[in-house]
Amino acid sequence: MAELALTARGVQMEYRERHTTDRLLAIENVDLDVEEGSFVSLLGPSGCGKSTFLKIVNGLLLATAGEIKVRRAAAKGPENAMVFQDAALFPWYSVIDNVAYGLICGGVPRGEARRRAGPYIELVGLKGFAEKYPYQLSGGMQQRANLARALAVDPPILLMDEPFAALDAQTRELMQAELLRIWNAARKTVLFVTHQIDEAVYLSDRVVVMAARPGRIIADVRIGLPRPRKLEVKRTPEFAAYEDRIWGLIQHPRPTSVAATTA
Amino acid sequence: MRRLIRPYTTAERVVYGLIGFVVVVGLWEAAVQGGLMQRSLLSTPSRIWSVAVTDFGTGVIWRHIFVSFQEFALGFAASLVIGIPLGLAIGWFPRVDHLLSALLAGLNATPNVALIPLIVVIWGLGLESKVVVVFLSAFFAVMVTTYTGIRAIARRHLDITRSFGGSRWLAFRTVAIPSTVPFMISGTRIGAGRALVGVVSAEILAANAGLGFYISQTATFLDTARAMLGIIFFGIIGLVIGEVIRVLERRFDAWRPQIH
Amino acid sequence: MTAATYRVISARVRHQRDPLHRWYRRNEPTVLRVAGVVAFFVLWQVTSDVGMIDKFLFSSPRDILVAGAHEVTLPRFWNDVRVSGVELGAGTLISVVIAVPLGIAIGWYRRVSLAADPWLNFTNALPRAALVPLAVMWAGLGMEMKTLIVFLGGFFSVLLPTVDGVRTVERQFVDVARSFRGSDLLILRSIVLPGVVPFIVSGLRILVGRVLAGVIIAEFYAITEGLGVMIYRAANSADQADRMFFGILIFTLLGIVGYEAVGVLDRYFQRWRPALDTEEA
Repeated sequence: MAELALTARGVQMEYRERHTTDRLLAIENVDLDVEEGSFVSLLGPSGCGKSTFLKIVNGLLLATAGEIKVRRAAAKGPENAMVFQDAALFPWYSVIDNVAYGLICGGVPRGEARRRAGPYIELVGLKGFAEKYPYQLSGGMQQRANLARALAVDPPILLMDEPFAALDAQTRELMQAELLRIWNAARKTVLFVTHQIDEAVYLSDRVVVMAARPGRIIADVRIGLPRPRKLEVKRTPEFAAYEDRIWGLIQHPRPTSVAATTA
Repeated sequence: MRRLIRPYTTAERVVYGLIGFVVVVGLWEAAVQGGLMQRSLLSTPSRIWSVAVTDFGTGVIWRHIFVSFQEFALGFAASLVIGIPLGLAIGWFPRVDHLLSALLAGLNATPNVALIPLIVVIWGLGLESKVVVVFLSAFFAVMVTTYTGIRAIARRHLDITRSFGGSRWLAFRTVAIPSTVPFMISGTRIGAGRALVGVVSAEILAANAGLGFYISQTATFLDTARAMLGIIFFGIIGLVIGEVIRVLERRFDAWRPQIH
Repeated sequence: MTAATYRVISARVRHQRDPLHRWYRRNEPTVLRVAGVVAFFVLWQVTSDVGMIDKFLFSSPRDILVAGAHEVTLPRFWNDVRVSGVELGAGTLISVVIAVPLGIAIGWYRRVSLAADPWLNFTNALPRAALVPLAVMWAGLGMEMKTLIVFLGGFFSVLLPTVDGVRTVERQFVDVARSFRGSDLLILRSIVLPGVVPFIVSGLRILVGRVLAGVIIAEFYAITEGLGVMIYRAANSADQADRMFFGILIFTLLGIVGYEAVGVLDRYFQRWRPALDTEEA
């Protein structure tokens, strides 16, 4: 049995309106296990709590109930790093300063941070662009830099919040393939949020399907497609079968939540 | 936002601008020479030019310009030194904002001119009182634009620092300040304009030297040409300052973060 | 395999605070605001009573109230109010009524707007106070001159934003209208006018400051009648600091009311704008 990078039990996120008794359950109950080195997608429509859950893991939000255990990093450092959707690079920093920023936040001195960031810029395919500024980069390239920044702090878990949502369709597909290439090289655990079924199926070992109102997990689908996966696999009948299955689950969501655990 | 019709080319602007300038000046001169307009009203371009040559030549006007410049420089510098940090503090610490904003809004709503008699009573007719007036005039614009800049920081950018475990102080240094720089520069431009207004108001009312004093004195002696000279000079200074700072603003435009 | 160590991320602990604590947390902004203002006046009064600041120069809140209460019983005061009020009201009204249509006309005709550009920039950069001596030469020392100054202040505050507003109309909307063969008049009414309103309103905000300053500086320069004169005379007499501050505070109040009124107009005309804050799900 593989080691678990993350276990979540009973996680709940409740919003209460200030002067009323209205309660909004962004997340009703999430039980989730994520294996070391696996690529797991959280898939669902708007409002199902997938981004909220990611932010709780990252520490940007505090859950109102439940507990999450994350595997500590080998060296001193953060257990997870987030790749944001948009407005993710600082316009006043060059690419390398942006990529080094995560390290700087962790207390690494600027010079060493820039040195450590260098290889990651090459890894994501931005060789030669280290001194350029974000406004000189295309959308796809900016997201590569975004990814490099998260990889540079060497976290055991990579959190990705709809990172390709702002890209056009062709760039998006290319970035998906690129992401698999980089993931193969870096071998991290990835928790990936998206609302696009084909993206989730193409990238993941497991697709955890969620529904909204209240936010909950309704299914845990293992994707058995062999790796490494080329983009062409999207046109195969096996792929389409997975898509249909998941689409059916989304159209008729179970009212109660399901535990996506391995235990 | 695009223009109503196709964008203006630089050539068009220059050509039509020149035409507009020449036409107005020409009509002005003609109207007075032809008797349509009294000479005492606005004087004539030719007369203004001749007194300009005289006064600049003899150096009379240079002394006044220097005095005005001193008042402007000192007051404006003070407004930056105090206005920018205050704007940053009020924008960054909500508690400071709540504590001070009502009072500052009240002070802002008061026309600075109304305070001039009080300021003169305290500081007299010399340099100090003008510097205080100039400071008050520019201070708000600088502070408020800096404050707006802090408020306009994209929430996402602050999230990024928090997400990677950076401290609030780091966020201030690496996100807040660079993000606010374009606003600080805008504030400097607007503040400079206000400072100039302050110089003029203070000198017209309560001074014994300076360009504003030059205007009010020459006007009292019905020397329209010289009064117009002073006025035009102020206008040109205002334009020059505005343009210089605008060039600086454009340099930093690439930095302006997108507001999502 | 060695057992890996884990970090636990717990949920938020909700303390059940006592009601006073909870109330304070919810209303802290208002509390601080009120505290700030109150502290200012209390400090003023105390330093004045104790002698730390000069009573003759700075007066104190209590003295100002007393002086003010006395002033409003005097007919002289209300005459000053009338004079300043007329100057302010007439000057502002005329300036807006002329500046808006003129601004739209200048902005609409491309060549005119380009030719006018240098003059507009020039008069915008020119401090209006510099024109006061000239205005006295033209119109004497009476109410006409002061109204003229107010007019000049208001006129240039609104003219430039209006011209800007017309020039910045969204190209797409104009294209839509033209593709449906809309006439120029239609475009003007349905696209340009609504589009230029926010610019006019922002000009009004500048106008408030300028017209108040205009009244005061005109009255300071040509000391005849009006609230500004009241301030000037009080400043120059011994022992009338409280009257002076009373006058200043009247203008502060006018300023606050003016800015608030523009704020209301702003919100009224921006009703149709969607909220600019969008968070992803």
